[in-house]
Amino acid sequence: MQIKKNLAQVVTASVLMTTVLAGCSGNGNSSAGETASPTNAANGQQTAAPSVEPTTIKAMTITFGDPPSADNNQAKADLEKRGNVKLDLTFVPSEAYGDKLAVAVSANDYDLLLIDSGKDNKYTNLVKMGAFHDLTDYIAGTKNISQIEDAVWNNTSVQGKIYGIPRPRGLYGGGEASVIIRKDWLDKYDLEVPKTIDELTNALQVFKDNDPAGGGNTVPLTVYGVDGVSGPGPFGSVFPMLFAFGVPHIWALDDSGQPVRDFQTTEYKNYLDWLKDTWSKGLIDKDAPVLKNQQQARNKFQAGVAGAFVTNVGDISETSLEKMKQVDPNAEIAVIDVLEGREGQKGVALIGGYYGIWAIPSSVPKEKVQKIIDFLDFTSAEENIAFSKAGVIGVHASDFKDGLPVQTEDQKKLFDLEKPSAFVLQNRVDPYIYANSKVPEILEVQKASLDVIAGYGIPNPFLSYSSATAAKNPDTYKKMSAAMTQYVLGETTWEAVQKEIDAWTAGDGAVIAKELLEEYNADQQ
Amino acid sequence: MVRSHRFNRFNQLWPFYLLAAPGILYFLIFHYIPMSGLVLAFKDYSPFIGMIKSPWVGFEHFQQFFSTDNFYVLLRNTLMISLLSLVVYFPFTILLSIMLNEIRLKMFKRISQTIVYLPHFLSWVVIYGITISFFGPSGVINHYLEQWFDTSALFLVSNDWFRPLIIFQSIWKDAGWGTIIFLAALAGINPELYEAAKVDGANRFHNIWHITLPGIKSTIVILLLLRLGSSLDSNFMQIFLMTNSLNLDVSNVFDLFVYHTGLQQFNYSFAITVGMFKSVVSLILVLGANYLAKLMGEDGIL
Repeated sequence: MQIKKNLAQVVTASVLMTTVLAGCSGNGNSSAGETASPTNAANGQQTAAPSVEPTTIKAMTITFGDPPSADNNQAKADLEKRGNVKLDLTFVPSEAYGDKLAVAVSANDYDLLLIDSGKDNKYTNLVKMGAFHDLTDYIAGTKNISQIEDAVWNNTSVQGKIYGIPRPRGLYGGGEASVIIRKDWLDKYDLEVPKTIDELTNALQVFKDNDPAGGGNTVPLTVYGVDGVSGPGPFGSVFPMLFAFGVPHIWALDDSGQPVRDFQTTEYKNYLDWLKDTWSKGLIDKDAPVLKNQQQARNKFQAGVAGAFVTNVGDISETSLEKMKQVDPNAEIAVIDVLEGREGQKGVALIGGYYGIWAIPSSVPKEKVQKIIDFLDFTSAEENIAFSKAGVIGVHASDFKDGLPVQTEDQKKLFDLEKPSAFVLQNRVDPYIYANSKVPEILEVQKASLDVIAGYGIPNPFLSYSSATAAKNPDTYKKMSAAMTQYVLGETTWEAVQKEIDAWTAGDGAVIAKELLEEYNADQQ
Repeated sequence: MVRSHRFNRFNQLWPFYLLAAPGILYFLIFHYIPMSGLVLAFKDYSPFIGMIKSPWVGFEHFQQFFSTDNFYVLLRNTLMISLLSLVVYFPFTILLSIMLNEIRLKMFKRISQTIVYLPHFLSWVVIYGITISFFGPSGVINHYLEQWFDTSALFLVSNDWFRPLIIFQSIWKDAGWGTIIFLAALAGINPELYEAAKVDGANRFHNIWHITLPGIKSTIVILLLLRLGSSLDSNFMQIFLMTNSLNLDVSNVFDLFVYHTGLQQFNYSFAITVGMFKSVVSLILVLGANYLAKLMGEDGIL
């Protein structure tokens, strides 16, 4: 009897467990049913609208700050209707984008992926693995996408073929074009907007001494620590300073045509010495080594504690200013277009002319590829410029005049919430793309600044080439990066840094330079 | 005869097999079958060609891995962190569980237990945030160090402080959680032993030394063996958040290297190679330690 009773208990227990397990899988089924239902709804709509069934495009893209609102987004609905698509967009915050992309690429469940880092070793590697569709033939048939300049196509193509569509941006400066600085703080201490590196250093010193943020919280200049994977150097967001010291844009060719890496020059040492000096005076953010990206530096600036940081004119817009005014109602921002060095050296990085590449994973069926290209071509059409700036007329704005929307407060709020431009996946070629302000005065300053920097582009001869050795050794710059950081913080001597640079030059560096030069020479012939 | 005997046994015991089935299936599906992926360590795997069609490359990835300049640095850093956690964190959990066990007031015991468990449920990102606000270059501690002593401590941005901080974080977050198994073992000790000891005039420290510790000795050995098995693993989340170019000499561990080379550069095969290396070394460590444990008369795990 006793045994039977035990048996009954065991059996009941196992039956219960199976039901629990079944319950789990049951949930799985029902959620699959839910995801299936929208497609059914779309099919249902099809009977109402006699046109071709809309294509569903599942895409992953980057977002800085909050993503657009997800429910009943009227901007999205409008674009979907006009483009005859159904958009299933995943907006991933910039801080986590790299990791999410690495997973998404191999998971094969997206129709369209934004490769945010552009053409680099990773991208080339993926193309060679056969990850993406060859789009060369599709591009020729497009009306708007094909208007992208040849230089940009060259910068993004792999072995002469197009595997992705670059999102056109200015050729000059990118996200690290100019120093922006607190104009109200400068005014407070009777300072002009600095033009040279020494004037800037002086202004930072004044900020440090007078502590305008209060409570000893003032951070004169904020930068972030680099991990030493993509390149060495203690800090990121420093291009204007590098160029003010005459440091080449990553690579340069010397008089005999031999490649020279930026940190192999004496100018780079001068730059590090400047950093060391400013660091010892407390002018650089103490937290910099633990900040991980530009967004964190931007947050500090927008929180009103930082006096200056390197970005582009997009950050002087009213959106950024409004955030700062919540902390300090007097906040004002000035742009130092091109920071000048002691011997007049200055510049902005001449970059690929794009930000991010749209690639279509090879798992997507051929018929769909054409549809996706058509949609991207559609979003970059003229009509969508107005859409990205004003949204739906009558909803997000009452009119679009002289390149600026006419909006009531409520319309503006809705516009900021639904972010129509986020759905315009592919933008039209526009050299003033970073001039994003809706306030005419600010817009004018932005455009003027972009015009100025266009005169000082510093090219990187190896911009569009990649080295297999660098790809295989992500740690190649790490030791050097650590030594440089320690040098700037005054914890080690220059000899220690020189030793790491020499070690690199003799080892990995020689191979990397050779590989890049070979690719470069092959293209020059 | 033998066959029918076995059949009889099955006939008798099938409910237990049924009970074990979900566990066995779990290990088969999620642990044994995925092991077939190890062949990719010998291939140049591309997810777009597939496992079968990817070309064979033999030991190329292993060669590349062992000839990495950083190999010894990675090995040293990984082992150092595991070792420190073994000699600091692990004994700390035992100490904590004994302390909890000695609390006589039921209510107080429960409250303390809950409080020490709580941090386990915080994500590492939150813990990193707390660490930054306290230990960061402009954090609370440095603020007062500067104000009172005109000095500052490079907690997060130097090689010296990295390991102590990592261990401190682990203890703060997980020590309470780690006591659970020990507390269960402690509950299993026969209370008569304590009563008998009391009659013999033993005080509390005698009790702990002669009854409590021997009572949980086998649990300690088993947990120690299991920990050894993961000595080449680091807590990726924790290290990834805490690393920066100023503590790189001590914070660069295998898991971080795999992340940079394998995942970020899409060298999946290389990442699998490193994973396989780690598993083989761990297996050897566990088997070795198990053998030693048996020599010393313990049960071991095999």
